[in-house]
Amino acid sequence: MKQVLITLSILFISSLSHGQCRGFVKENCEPLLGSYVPSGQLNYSELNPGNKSEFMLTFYKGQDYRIIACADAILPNVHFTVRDENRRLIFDSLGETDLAYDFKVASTQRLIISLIAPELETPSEEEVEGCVSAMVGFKY
Amino acid sequence: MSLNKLSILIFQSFCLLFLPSCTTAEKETLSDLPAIENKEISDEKIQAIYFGVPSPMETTIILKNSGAEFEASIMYPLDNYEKELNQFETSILLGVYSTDLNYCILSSKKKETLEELNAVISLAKQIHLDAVVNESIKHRVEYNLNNRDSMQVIIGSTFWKMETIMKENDRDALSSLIVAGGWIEGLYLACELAEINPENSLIQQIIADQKYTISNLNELLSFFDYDEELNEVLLTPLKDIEKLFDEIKKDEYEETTSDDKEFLDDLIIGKYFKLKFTAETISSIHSSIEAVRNELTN
Repeated sequence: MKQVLITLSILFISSLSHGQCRGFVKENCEPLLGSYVPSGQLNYSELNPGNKSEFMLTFYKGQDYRIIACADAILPNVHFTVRDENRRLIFDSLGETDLAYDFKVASTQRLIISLIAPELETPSEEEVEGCVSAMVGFKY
Repeated sequence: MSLNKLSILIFQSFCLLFLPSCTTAEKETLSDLPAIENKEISDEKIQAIYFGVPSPMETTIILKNSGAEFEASIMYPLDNYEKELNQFETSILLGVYSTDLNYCILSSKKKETLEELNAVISLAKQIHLDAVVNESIKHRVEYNLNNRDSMQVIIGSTFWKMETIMKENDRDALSSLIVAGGWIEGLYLACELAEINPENSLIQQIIADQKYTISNLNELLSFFDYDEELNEVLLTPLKDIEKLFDEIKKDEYEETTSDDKEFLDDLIIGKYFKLKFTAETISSIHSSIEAVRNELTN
């Protein structure tokens, strides 16, 4: 089983603008898909520690998929989970070191990808917000 | 609509739809999965939830994999892109012709590929996407007409850039209409091919599988304030089509043999489902999506 979580070094604490977040995803996350073609829309979000964003996506039977999650370094230990539509946990990247989660689905179905930013161990006086993205690619 | 407002709306919708059962489901799941139980952090708040729809390229690849022969006559008429269109119509048609373009590329139809590409370039220009979709792309495609894989890479990358630019310019509402147009055309092509190839059960399965995607598409479109006309010709009919898809029921089953796994080395995740549907349901979906498609430029 391969998995992912890439934390990239962006050296600021204050929140990114939406445009910067999109730029971050485009420049830093997309290349990590390798030979996989981006599927569907650009999945990104700005997160505060202690929060999570969820992306509900359709995956087709027979296709090879790769999920890459990436996040600003300002959000430490960001990880992602994959759950089925009934929210049953399929995978959690916490503690995993592989760079990509590659899989096929048993049948065409929707899966929920959650990007989770745990609370900071040392609370910051400034508001902390960082960009996170779940890139999904497929092979053809 | 700003992204923050969008996120709040999405979150509110999510709360209404799912939250009452979330917590319980999560705990049950974790007890079933002791190996990863400790990794779960359950107290984060959901800041936003987003809904995605597969790209036209992915949809047409699946259609192509069904083995159906190329049928030029089922694609959207090419004379429609030269009509006078508003921004909404232009965006929808851009999605429609994008799907047809991918369909031509995957079928290695050179003449048709260039014709569809002309339509895409013209429409992209009308909504100021000519920085990404332009004659330069056409030259690259022409140069690679004998190399389907290269063309797919060029077009795939172009549409990804297009999506990014639209989001960068806060034109998510139009971007979502491109997605909608692409999906409508993909479903229409599948329905037509199913009718031409009644013995091909795989195509019917592809149609039934759209049960999952239409739900996401309608969620996606619901976050924007479109005008009354668009609601009438697109959003309301798509909600009605979703109800038709609700007639398709899924049966979960346990996989007992490995015969269904194409490659034993692959990680296969999720549940096994069999979708149960009737020919009448597929026929109703076909006529409904055809009606929506026919209204796009009327």
